[in-house]
Amino acid sequence: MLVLNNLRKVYGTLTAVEGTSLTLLPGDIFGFIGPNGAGKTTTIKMLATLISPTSGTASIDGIDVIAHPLEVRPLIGYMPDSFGLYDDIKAWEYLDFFASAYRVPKADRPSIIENVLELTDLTTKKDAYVQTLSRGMQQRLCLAKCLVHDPKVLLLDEPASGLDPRARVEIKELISELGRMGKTIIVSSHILPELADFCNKIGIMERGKMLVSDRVESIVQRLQPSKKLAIKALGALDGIRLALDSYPEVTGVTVIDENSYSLLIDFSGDTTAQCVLLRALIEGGHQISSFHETRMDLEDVFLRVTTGSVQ
Amino acid sequence: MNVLPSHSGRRESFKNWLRLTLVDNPMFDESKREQRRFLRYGLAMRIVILALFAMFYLWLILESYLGHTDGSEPFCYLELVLLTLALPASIYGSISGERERATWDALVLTRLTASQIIFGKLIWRMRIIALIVVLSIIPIIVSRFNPDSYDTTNWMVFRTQLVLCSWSLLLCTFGLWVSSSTKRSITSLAVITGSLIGVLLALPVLYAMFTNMVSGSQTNADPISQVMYTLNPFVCMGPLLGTRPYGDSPLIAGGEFGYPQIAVFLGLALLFIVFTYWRIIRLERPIRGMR
Repeated sequence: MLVLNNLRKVYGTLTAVEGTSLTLLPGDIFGFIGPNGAGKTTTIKMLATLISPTSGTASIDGIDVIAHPLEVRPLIGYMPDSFGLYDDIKAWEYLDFFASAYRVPKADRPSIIENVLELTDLTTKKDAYVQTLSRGMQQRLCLAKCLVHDPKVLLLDEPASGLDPRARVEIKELISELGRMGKTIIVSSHILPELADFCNKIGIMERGKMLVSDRVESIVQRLQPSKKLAIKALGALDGIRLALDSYPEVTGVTVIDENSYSLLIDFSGDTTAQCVLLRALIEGGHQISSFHETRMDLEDVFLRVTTGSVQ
Repeated sequence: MNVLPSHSGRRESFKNWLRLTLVDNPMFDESKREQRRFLRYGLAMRIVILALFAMFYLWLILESYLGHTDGSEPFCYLELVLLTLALPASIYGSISGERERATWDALVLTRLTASQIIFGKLIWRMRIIALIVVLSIIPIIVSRFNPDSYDTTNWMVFRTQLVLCSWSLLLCTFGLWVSSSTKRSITSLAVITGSLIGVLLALPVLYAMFTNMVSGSQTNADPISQVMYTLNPFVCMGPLLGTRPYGDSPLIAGGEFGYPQIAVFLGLALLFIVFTYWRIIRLERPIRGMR
């Protein structure tokens, strides 16, 4: 659906994007993570045919973005980080304007507008003037505008920036729903928890370079080859540490907090070995109040990747 | 193999272009937004504005009918001033404003063509021109029934209207081109205002000063001054209406006065439309590809 191959953008002496490659399938929600100035927006704008790349190729639905930008444009819905809206126009008129600009047949427009308003939960605001809508509603209206021509790919640049927590949740739910509808979505953000919930693939960018891009689980797997098990006891940890030494699957033990009796172990065994270990500890008379696997979150992944732990 | 479109195919695509540009053009919605901007003032304010305008306009019509002087010239000058002020003021932000508002990217990503954008932006300004021309022409026609009016068979007043319309179109297309070439509306306004002051006022004055030409009489002026004055609508209005003698121009015969101006203004307007078209194509196609 969307293929980037060694895409590069150079402004004078500054390399904004350095050899980015990526492949996305229908239904993929790709989280583009990186600090401000990392090159996320430039990459998205190149895909949106608004900036020409210096070198490399990109295609959407098999159509070359560089050679045939006008054929690509109807296939994409682009929501910029700072989007503009027309004043003195009602929400449905705004959508009708863009639907007609995308040459959606006049007879189909009312039902399409109804559908996208319903999808973006703006049905009740149909006749409201856009300048009277809240920031979150305007953001959803902008997203609705991206959907009126039923694009296959959505390019969303910081879609949740400047929104209150509730509006953030709403827009995240909306993006997840669009992913379930089979749309390929690229969402950029520098706020990691924003993307963690609904992206199945992520790419981490820094100073124009894509440091890593893959499925979230694959990246975690690469960064954290052994499991991390967090154990919390009701008493001193010395006995537990002694007991853990006799297990070959336990490759490392770190005391997190001596006072709260919690420690973290590196465990190379599978789930069955995990169960065996827990049973052995309990049967050995150790008072375990908590025993669970800890997984790296996006924040950990980002910190590990951007500090050069993975190359 | 590249097959050239047949005659009927070309005719179909031209008809399609006409339909998209002049009939099904979503950009025409802009006029709806402008009307709403006026309606936002509230009922009381709207009534006051309309009442003041109606009173002034009625006075103009009565004065045309009952007055003891010919009203054509002041009306035409008033019309010219209105058009010269209103059109640049309405068009300076038409494209630069879209870029400032960050709506331009959304616009170019749609299937709108450059000609749809240009005509969409021009069409409602043309409505302003039509409105001002119609409102101005009514008192002029009324003044024809005034026995003190000058020669009622003198139809130069209508040729003057054509000059004014072509001048207005030139103002619109020039403004649109400047707006498409600047990133900020304020820059666009400054360029348009500066150009108008420069061409209509500063340049002729400076030229006259440097060539020691005595202003007032165009009869013996050199060809450059002739061109500057002939193409200045504020100057050519008098000779057009016959209220001031034109004299023996080496460039235009007295009876033809007005037609060359119309031709030049329309020609320049067309040129600015082409410039704007190229500019929009450049703005919307950073990546190569043809529409």
